[in-house]
This record gives sequence, C-alpha cells and structure tokens, in this order.
Amino acid sequence: MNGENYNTESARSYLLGSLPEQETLRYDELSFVDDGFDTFLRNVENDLVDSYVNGSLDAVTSKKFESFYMATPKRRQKVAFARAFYQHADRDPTMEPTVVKASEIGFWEKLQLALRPATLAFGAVALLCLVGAIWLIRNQRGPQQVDVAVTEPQNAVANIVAPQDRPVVAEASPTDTVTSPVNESRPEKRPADQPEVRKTPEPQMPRVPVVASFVLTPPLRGAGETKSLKLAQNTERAAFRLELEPVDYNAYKVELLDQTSSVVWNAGKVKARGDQMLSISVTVPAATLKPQRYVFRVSGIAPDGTAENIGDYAFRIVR
Amino acid sequence: MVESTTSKTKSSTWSLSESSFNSFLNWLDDGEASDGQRYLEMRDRLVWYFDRKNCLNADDLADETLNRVARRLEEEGAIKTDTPAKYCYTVARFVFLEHLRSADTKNTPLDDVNFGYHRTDDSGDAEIKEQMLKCLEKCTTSLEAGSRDIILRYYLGDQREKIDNRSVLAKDLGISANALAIRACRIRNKLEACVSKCMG
Repeated sequence: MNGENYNTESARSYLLGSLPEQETLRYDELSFVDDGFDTFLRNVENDLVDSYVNGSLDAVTSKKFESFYMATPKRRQKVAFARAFYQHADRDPTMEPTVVKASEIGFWEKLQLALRPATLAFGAVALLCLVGAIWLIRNQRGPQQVDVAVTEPQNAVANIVAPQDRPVVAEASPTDTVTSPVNESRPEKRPADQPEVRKTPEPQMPRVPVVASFVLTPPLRGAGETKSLKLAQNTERAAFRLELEPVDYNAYKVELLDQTSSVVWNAGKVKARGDQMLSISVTVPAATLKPQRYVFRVSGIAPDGTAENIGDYAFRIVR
Repeated sequence: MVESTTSKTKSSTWSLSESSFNSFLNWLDDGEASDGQRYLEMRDRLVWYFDRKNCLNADDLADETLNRVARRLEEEGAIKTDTPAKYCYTVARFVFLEHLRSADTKNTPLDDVNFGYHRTDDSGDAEIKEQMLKCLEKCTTSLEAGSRDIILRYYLGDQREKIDNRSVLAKDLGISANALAIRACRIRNKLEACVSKCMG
C-alpha cells in the first residue's frame, strides 16, 4: 500500500473498531511497518477527533465515537486536548478566519493572543486594541447601517493594523462606489489606544500572498446601487465578512452567484461568529471574481436541514 | 474493558542489561544510527497500538513487548526473520492476545469497567480544564517559531475556510498539501505529548 491508496473512510472505521477483522489485522501491521501509513493514520485520527469536537460527525458515527473511541483515558485526553485547542482559538476573535492574509500578522501577536490568559498584560493591551478597533469600525459606519464596499490593502505588509488581527476595513456611505479608507471622517474621536500601523515581515515565509478583505453589512430592502469592490491584479484571495441581521441558525450556507445567477463558488456549511453582531467569514479565490456583478446568497440551515434564504449581499467587482 | 495482568511474572527473572539494551537499540536502528529515536518511535507505536485495542495499560504492554524483543535478541544474538518493525508487531500481537486471555479470566468489579464515554466526564472539572489550557500555553510557547506558526494557521477557520487557509499556508511554505498535513500532524502530536506530560 502506498500513500496514494490509503483510504480515509476505512481508516476511520478502523479507528472506530468497525473494520472487519482481516482488514483490522492488515491495518495493525501497516501501522508498524509502513511509516507513511502511520502518519496517515495519525492524521485521520486527528481529523476524526476534530470532527467530533466540532460537532460535524453524523449521529451514528458520533455514537460510535463515544462508545468505542473514547473508551480509554489516552483517547479521552486527546479529545480534551482538541477541545481545549479549539476553545482557545474560538474564544479569541483574532483567530477568526476574517484575517485577510495569514502571513501578514506577526506570529507572536497571533500566538500571544491565542494562548495567553486575558489577565496577562499582553491580553489587556490586546483587549484595549480590540475595543479601539470595534469603536473605530462602529464610528466609521456612521448612523446608517448600509451595505459597504471596502478597500483592498495595496501593500499587504504596510496595512497591518492591529495585533488583534482585524482586517483593514474602510467602509463607505451608500453613495460611494469604489471606496478608500475613511479614518479621517472622525479624527477627533480617534482613541489614544488605536492600533498602530506596523511593519512586521516574517522572514521565514518565502512568499506573501495578497488578500483583499471586505465587510458587507446586511442588505437593505430596496437598496440602491450595488457597491463596487476593487481588486488589484495581484490579489490572490478575497476575504469577506458578511454581517448578519439578528437571526439564529446553527449553520449557514453561502453561495456566490454571478450575474447570470449561476453558482460559481460556495462555502458549504459555515457557522456565524460574534457576540453582538453575528457575521460569517468566507474567503474566495480572486481568480473566481471577474469584473461583474455578484451576489452572496446566505441561507440559514434550519434544524430539519432545510435552507432558508436570509439575505443577498450584492456587489460589483472592479479590476 | 479491564485492566490486564500482563505476563510480567514471565519476564521478572530476566532484566535488561546495558549491553543488551545497546544491542537492542542498534538492531532497531537497522543500520542507521538514530540516537535512540527509533526506539522512542517504536515505543510510541506500540502504545498507540495497544490503546487502539482499548487496553487501559497500553504503556505497560508496550514495555512488555519491548522487553520480550530485547530478551529474544539477547538469547538469539540476532533476529533476521523479519524487519525490526515487523517483528515488534508480531510480538505485540502475542502480548495483546495474552492480555485478552488474562482479562477474560480476571474478575473485575462492574464499577471498574469502562463501558465507554460518559458526557458527564467531559463537561469536566474546571480545574483540569484550566490546567490543560495552561499546559497548552506553555507547550505552544516552547515550540519552535515555525512550528507554532504552522499549528496555529493549520487549524484556523471552519470547513471551507480551513481548506483555503491550508492551501495558502502550503503555498507560503512552498510544500504540498500532503507534506503540510504530515508536518502539522507531527507538530500537533508533539504538542499533545507535551501537554500530556505537563498534566502529569
């Protein structure tokens, strides 16, 4: 057996004790004599544990997982580890995938924010920065909660804004088309602890992909013109945060429709994040986005599995 | 599931001398000096094997297996029938079957039998959770910078997002998705082992 022929489903069954005896014996032996299989199996096990922790196993598998897999303290500890790891990541907004460019943020900032208790000094600073960033975003939005076009960082490194890892966001009024940063709109309210612009290149990363980030607010009924979002030619990915009206679904479906209403991309099942303002984060390969009008169709997935449309976020790509 | 009575009594009359142990390490290395790394890997595989078999004392059974192999090596002078990995597996299988037999005949109080996972265990003791988080912090900090970056970025996002992030990460590192998965898996296992050790 080589790396091409490893079967993830069979490996899962093996780890859950559901494989026929002969196959089980074969897998037992392979786990000793085939280094590649050993690594593969450990990966499958990690993914299985993650799926359980994230609640994405189906009911039958989940039950099997609990009755068989979690029968030993070592494996229970493995699950506890995964849970702790994800709890840390989830608790901290800096770990949200709205991060526009994974490599643009200094690693230490990400690490400290992810793992240090909030009681530590760094945590306190980060909290202040986060409050500042939220304040800034709220004030930039102004009195009207309208859909928004956001600028793209021209220079990914120079646009690093905050240790809390928020994307560079510039929001526009409904009459704007292609926007630019609007921090100057309320300079007098700029908080003292506003995040600084810093340059923190990471020498160990040989290449820095360019990612543009956008925030789209809930669509208004009968809203006017479609917002234009500018993508530079060298942009590789476009990260969107879709802010939601107060709704309550466990999961959401996000589809990207082009001007012919064809689905050109979908995010599968995603979860909303946030305390006061729920939002969904998706990242689309820039190559998918041509200069034309698009709509993100967001549907809430009801407990019975049916999808209910909760909003269309329209925008136009400008190159 | 019950505690096993491993055949420690069988091996109790034999003890591993330093020279036997060195011979054993050399044999496991199979011609490539690993500075004991191969021994640790084999022990880890054995522990994982017995754990997958739902043995509660996987560490003891792994040590029992290694002792038997080392003893056989000392007695025979060489084991040429199988590769070290294959031979260790064969012995491990015997140890496991013996364990099953001894477990079958051993009376175990019903309360001691673990029939599976109970949710109440998981909702857990806040102190243990807190300790785990502290250990996680400590262990992550002790990782080498590149590894820390990989482990954090590898698990960033949900579903599609995560896939995209991993794709970007692989590109950044200039390696294939498969190579990234292997690297991330090793780092995670290292982190887990560190947390486990830290938790005592």
